[in-house]
Amino acid sequence: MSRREDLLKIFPLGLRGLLKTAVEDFEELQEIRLRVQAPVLLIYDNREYFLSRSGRMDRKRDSAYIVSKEEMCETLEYVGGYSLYAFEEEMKQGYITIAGGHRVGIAGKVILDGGRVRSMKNISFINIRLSHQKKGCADRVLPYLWRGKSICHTLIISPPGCGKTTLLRDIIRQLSDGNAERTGMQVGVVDERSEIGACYLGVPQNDLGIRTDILDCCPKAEGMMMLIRSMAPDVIAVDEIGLSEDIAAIRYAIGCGCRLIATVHGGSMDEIRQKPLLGDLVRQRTFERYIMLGDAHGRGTVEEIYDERGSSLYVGG
Amino acid sequence: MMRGDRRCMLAVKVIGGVLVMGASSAIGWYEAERIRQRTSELRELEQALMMLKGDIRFAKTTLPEAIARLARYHEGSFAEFFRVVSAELLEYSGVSLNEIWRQRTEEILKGTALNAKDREFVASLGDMLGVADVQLQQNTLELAAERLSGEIAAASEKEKDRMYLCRALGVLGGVFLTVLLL
Repeated sequence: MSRREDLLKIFPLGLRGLLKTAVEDFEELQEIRLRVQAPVLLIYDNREYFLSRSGRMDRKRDSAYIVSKEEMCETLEYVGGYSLYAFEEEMKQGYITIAGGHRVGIAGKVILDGGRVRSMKNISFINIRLSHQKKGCADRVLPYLWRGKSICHTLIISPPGCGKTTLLRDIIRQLSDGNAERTGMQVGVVDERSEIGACYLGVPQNDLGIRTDILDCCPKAEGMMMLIRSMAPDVIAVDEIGLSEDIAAIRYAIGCGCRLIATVHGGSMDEIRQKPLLGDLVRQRTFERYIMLGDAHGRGTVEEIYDERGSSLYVGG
Repeated sequence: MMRGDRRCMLAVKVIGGVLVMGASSAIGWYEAERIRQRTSELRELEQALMMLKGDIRFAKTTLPEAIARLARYHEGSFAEFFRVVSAELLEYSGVSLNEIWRQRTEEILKGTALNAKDREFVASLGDMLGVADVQLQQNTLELAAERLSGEIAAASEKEKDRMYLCRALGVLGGVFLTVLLL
């Protein structure tokens, strides 16, 4: 089943038909937002559109299709594979990954138990972020990440929504698969938010290569330790590091001889240097390559690549 | 009337009487068998619910998968029902679970020994499935299983008497009809 079909099957029949006719190219569709008694919004090619009642993408609100409470319940039923209880843990986090790797964010009335989120009910807001795997997006970057026969400890830096995870995913895939010149490496991925591999019922929906092991929904620090002990990876990949325990686990992983590829939110190298714990790693030259991403020249553009001393190796744009 | 004709008439009457009594007794036996069958089907359903509960509790298996497993391991009267429901759920055809469940209950379970009240109970199970909380899902299945075991207890208690009654009514009805027709 294609990713388009995987996506469409979570909608009630009426909405399914409208989306089928309205969206020309699902590769350009980034988000679908549903709110009870509100218009369906589509983010397509970085622009916002209303889904019209006649099955078109429209900039005008007048003809917009309004989502009913029943349609919301039905959508939720299909999102959860008729079995929302199986996604209890994911619902606590506020999102569910569906077949095809798409991520469904949910919001509604939160049920607390001893001050902690136990579940959610009366879900009235759904945001579907479409997963697009861009195979080959790391082609230009990868040559800069090798030092002899070894891959450098690398940190990918970018503001939110600039394609960090997409780039990380492709780096993982290429390292894992290998090519004619370099043999593939054993890669361990700690996918805390299920974004890299987008596992659905344990099966990764994104291609992360043939030598990749994934610890899905596992806290990064604990996951890195587990992978080192259990899967003996050559490379460990993690997304969005930041907590003190992440930094400690990174030191441990590097100490064990693993190569590390990680991402972090940030607008510039200086911003990263000023972060309390991560800044220490930068100053100690733990990372050997820094990839800066931006969206000034389109989403996911590599703006610059630095080495551990801060010297620029590549300037994009 | 010739003596031969009289003999012939008597033979026809006897054969007719035997046929009427045989048919009537067979109806009695059939009804008795359905009473026994109903109890055993209710037991099968109870077992299936417990299996479903186990799958949800320990493995958090999704319903399409859990019901498909039931279809594979269940050899009784519900195998076809579970097979059709799980296949339809896996299709994601845009029909909700309770609609699929209810529709298939009415279509497929009509051929079982369950009575209308039992079938309505099975149909109502569809409304309870797929809730957002594992504990709640387990509790609802437990509640349904409890209700079912009450029904089974009541059915088995009266089973022997009712089966005997059905058979006796079948035979006696046949005798009565035969006498009436002769």
